Amino acid sequence: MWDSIQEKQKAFEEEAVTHMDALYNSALKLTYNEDDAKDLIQESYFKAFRFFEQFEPGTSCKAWLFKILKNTFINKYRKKVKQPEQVDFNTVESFVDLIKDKNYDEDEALDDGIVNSYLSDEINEALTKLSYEFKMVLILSDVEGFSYKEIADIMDCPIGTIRSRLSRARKMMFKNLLKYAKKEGYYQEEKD
Amino acid sequence: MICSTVNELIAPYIDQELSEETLIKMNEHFEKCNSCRTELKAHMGAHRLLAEKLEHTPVNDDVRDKIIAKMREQETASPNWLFKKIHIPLRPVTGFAIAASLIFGILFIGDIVEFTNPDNTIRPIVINSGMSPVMPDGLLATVTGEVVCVGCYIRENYNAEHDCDIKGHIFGFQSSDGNLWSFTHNEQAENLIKIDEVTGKKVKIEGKLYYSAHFINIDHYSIVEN
Repeated sequence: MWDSIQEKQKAFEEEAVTHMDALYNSALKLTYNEDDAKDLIQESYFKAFRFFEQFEPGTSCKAWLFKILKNTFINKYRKKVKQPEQVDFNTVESFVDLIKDKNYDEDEALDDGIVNSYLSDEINEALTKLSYEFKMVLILSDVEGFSYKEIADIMDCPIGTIRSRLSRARKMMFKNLLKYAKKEGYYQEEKD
Repeated sequence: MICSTVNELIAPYIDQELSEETLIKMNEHFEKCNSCRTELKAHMGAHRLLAEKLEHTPVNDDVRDKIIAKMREQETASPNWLFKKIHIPLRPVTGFAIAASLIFGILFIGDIVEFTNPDNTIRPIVINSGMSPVMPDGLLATVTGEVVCVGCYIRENYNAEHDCDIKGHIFGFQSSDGNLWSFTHNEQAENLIKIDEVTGKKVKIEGKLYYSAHFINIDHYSIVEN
């Protein structure tokens, strides 16, 4: 495949290293810890490099790297990272129910400056409340833009499972961020 | 289309993962149904909020350089002995040793058991024949145990070389008596190995046991509450 180690390194750097930002960003959201995130991508990249011959040219290298990252995370870090309490999704049946919920219907006075400076923290905080399975599909879809088929392949799950996890994960995030969503114009109620 | 179906399909509708035919049906429904339209708007809001506002933290250059440097080091430092030719003069004693190990290997080789992979390929694994068959094959039985990755199991317990991180897990079943089993290909087995929720949980399987090959044909399974 490659005539020398240097050629392999060059191909790997062109094909795989370019995705390091995306992998690090996701690793950080999975581990909640900079050092663990660095170790996780380092280990994932070493493995990817060692087995780079097995990557099929023409397929998505980013998806291949994410699969390695996910497997490495499950094997090594998942036990270490404190899992959030399991969310009872029966209580979050629909967006409509959430919006009707009195707790979230309050027109709380939020200062513009506060909204901008805290929104990012609030989103990250809301993300930590999701269990790994839901968080991962959310990152892969909404942040990294993978197709359902690619996500199903990365997660080793049927597409139907990905679809329902994604739907539930978004509802959960929306529940925690509704006041910001309204304030920032991400959701507007229809006038009767 | 009824509301419950539409609600299930809102995520793929937003992510443009639906066929044109379904898309048209969904649009028709949204025009008529206020409740589903509200659901759609909220779902779209959540999707947009996350895509736009979820903080993106790039890896800093130092970390990137360190990883690249280590990778280069690792590669240049890796031994080439695997690819070197090994010349062993075949003396009578060496020949005897080889013959003895072959006989030993034949006598002690275990059952060849196949374990299903998530990608539906099959890999043969040789395991210790200590689990000799004592029951008739095809017996209908209920067994409890855990879904395990056989690769991880033999790596952790016997230092076997197996890299699940790259190759994927090889799922099997460890019954409460410690025996390892594989699944015959059917829908139940496929569903069981694909759901993450079973990890670390006790599972009860009803099905036919093929003891001589350590295969289970699952009729039904359920997760047992601890």
